[in-house]
Amino acid sequence: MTIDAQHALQTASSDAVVDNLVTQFANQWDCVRELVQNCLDAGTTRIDVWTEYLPGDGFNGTIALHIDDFGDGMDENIIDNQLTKLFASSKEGDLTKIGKFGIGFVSIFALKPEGVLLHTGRGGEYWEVLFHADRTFSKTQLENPIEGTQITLFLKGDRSAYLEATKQVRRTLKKWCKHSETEIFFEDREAGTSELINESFEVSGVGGAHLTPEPGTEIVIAFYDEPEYEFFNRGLTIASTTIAENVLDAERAHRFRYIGFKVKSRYLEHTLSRDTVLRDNNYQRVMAHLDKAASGISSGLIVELAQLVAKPHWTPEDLIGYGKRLRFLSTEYSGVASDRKIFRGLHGENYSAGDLFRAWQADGRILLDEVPTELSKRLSEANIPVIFGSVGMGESGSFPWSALTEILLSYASKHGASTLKGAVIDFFSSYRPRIARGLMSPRQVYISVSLDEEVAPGLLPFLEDTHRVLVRGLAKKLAPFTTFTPLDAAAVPIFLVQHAQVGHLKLPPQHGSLGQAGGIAVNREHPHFLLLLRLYEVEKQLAAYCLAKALLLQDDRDLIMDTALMSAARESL
Amino acid sequence: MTEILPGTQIPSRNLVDTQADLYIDNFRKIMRSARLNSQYPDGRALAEHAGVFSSQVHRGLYKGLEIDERTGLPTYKEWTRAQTDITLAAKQIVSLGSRSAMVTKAAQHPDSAHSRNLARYDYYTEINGTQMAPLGSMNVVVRRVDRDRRLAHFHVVLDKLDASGVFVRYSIDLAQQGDAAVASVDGRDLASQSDNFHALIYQFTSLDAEFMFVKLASMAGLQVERVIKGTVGPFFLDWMQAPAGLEISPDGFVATFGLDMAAVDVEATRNNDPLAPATDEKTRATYAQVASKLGYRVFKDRKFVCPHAMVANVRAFAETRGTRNVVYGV
Repeated sequence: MTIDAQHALQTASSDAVVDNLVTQFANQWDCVRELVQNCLDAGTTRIDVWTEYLPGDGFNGTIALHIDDFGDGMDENIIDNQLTKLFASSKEGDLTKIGKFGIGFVSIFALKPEGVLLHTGRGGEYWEVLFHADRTFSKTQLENPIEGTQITLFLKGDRSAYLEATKQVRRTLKKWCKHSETEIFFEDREAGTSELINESFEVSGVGGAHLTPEPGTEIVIAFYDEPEYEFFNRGLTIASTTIAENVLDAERAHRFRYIGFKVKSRYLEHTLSRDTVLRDNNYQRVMAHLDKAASGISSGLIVELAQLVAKPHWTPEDLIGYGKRLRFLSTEYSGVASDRKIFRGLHGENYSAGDLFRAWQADGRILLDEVPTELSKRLSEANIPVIFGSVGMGESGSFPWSALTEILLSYASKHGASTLKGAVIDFFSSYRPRIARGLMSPRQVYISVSLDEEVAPGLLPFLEDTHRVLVRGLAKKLAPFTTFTPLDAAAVPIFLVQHAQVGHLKLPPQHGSLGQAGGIAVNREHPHFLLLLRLYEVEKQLAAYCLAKALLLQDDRDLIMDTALMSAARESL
Repeated sequence: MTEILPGTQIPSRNLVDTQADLYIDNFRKIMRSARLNSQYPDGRALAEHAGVFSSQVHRGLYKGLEIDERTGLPTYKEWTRAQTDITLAAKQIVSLGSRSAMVTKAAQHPDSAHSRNLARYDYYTEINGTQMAPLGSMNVVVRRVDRDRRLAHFHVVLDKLDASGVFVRYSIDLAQQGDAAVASVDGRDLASQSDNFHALIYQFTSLDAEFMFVKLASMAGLQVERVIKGTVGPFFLDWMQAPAGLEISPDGFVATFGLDMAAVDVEATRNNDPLAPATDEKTRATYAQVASKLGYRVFKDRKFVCPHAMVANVRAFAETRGTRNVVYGV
């Protein structure tokens, strides 16, 4: 047995520097993570962390915290030139190691131990190193073999301090080491309890995926209402937060507002203060993988939505799950898998984003209702989609209608602009307000009225003159006008068009020319019509022009033709 | 005696029924107790892989377990059989069809093919996804890259069921100057191992760490830092020929785990392996010259796992050979 003289921890700097390094972490118990990190870097396949209480005189005793590994161990050279020498790590820049700076071990003195006993062996040398409270140490060569490294911290304390220490050690292990690639066992020998600290590397959110984008990097990712962002190197936590801006740039923080992830990569590093992930080139490379993964999980979400939509009956959980998934999808949808039926029709038919976009293109509207009605049934039979939903139900509802708008916008930007008309819409006016305005309930569009069998003689000249102005002004063929009276007191527009298949009059399509609409019917009780009718008695041209203009004004249609209408009124009447 | 290729007979013994199950039970206990770090073959994978040999798992589908008499480990044939079964398990489950139908048919005809199919179904279900010990694989990862000096440091891990019947893991740390002798490194610091290097390493796997070190160091552009050869086996069973002086009590065993290291950061050349073959003076002198030139030293070690009652005997055996070794009792 060889006993070496007493030494002090070595640093090129002053004691003040050492003091700062001792207290480098916000929580003094974080030194346990540093010791575990050293064990992992030593190549151990198991780490045993255990605590015991050694009773002393009276209430006071000693708390012993043990950390044992079976890794490479240390020889005298490593003890002298790395373990006890600050900033002398051999691991810096080594992608197979987690530790970098050579300052982790000294943090154990933040716990103010009475002593630290270390047993280690490597290359046929076996050593016992005893660190004293003043951070000096002595080392002794042993004859009996030791495998790996076993460290024991002796802390002064009574039984309540022991309980607190045990709690803190467990909390530290769970916080920093839960996804360690090496098994870590924690044993409280006083309580007689033992547990495996490791948890499986997975996420519990919606539409989750588990990916290995390149050797050495593993990602689990899913949608969440309140996501968490976690970075690991070989399973040790580098950063874990629910505040996206703490670990992501502003653009990604917005994109990942509903996407949580865990990413484990040997390329990721922590900052010197261990409080967050280092944003270097390797971080950017990992973020590029995360961006791809985020794009990928919307596909999983589409599959889940399609499965939900295909279920014949929904439970309340299905309903909530559907709304949540749709909302998540709207944040990431890029127009892919546009033929998957992810929208639930009210009468057994389901619809894809493409189906709804085409319906919107045809009529400027997408019809939604909460429950099936006779009207929705007739519409469905006439191949007009009516999907489950409620206009204006809001973001927390089971059908977030703004999510539908976002999904259709993404569809439009991928597919809509591929047609000339789509490109024009895309270029001159945003799809967003037009689609948002087009989400309506069938009752808002298809109106029950009393259609006159024939136009009353007193109205006929006025309507015929207006018809003439329109036909000449717009240079389009139009069926003669009919008239109707509303059945209830609700405000009914001045013009409706006939829809033979459904048996109701409906609002004219929101875009497209009037020539494409069905026969136009005029609300003969509408105040504006009654006003113009009185004007017609004194100013025929002006009244006919105004009624024709009113048709264009409804839904901002063909206003560019206004001058043509004026000329037509002057020339034809 | 088993013969994989014509003329390559391996002395073996077939363990049946409780003998085989006791062997597997002990094997798994040994692997748990051996505390194998990353310098050895993966102990957990070996224990899982061996679990497939248990009659409770294969439900009598296989008759016994063939043990290599040279190493006390299952033969290559057995390991590959389990590997094939695990690999094909998912497909087999699908092809066998509905379990409930098999249960009904097996109940009607207890000694028929239906019973055997049911056993196969349950066997494949149980082993599906089992972790396997690699019988031959090599992985090269980049440790660090110094682009200015065109120097790339690699960590190479080769796992193999050696022709001698033991599992070996070579862990090699080396640096490559210039062209891709070992591997090429892409812009993302990912390594693609070269075919030549792959072939070369496989060729040397039966050699000791020192020989491998010297061979690699002789390659142009390579700086070798460390070669470590970790070995699982041989296991000495009570019916096997054990080294002189090592007595195995009835139903006892001594499992051995060798570590052979040649590295520039080993402090002194030492031999702590009581089973290391003796080297003659002349060879030793030649090696010493090379070691001095290349700056490496060699450390050989071995740890043991045996029943608690045999620990003292094993320690005494080591001392008679001039070594002090870690001995774990189970």
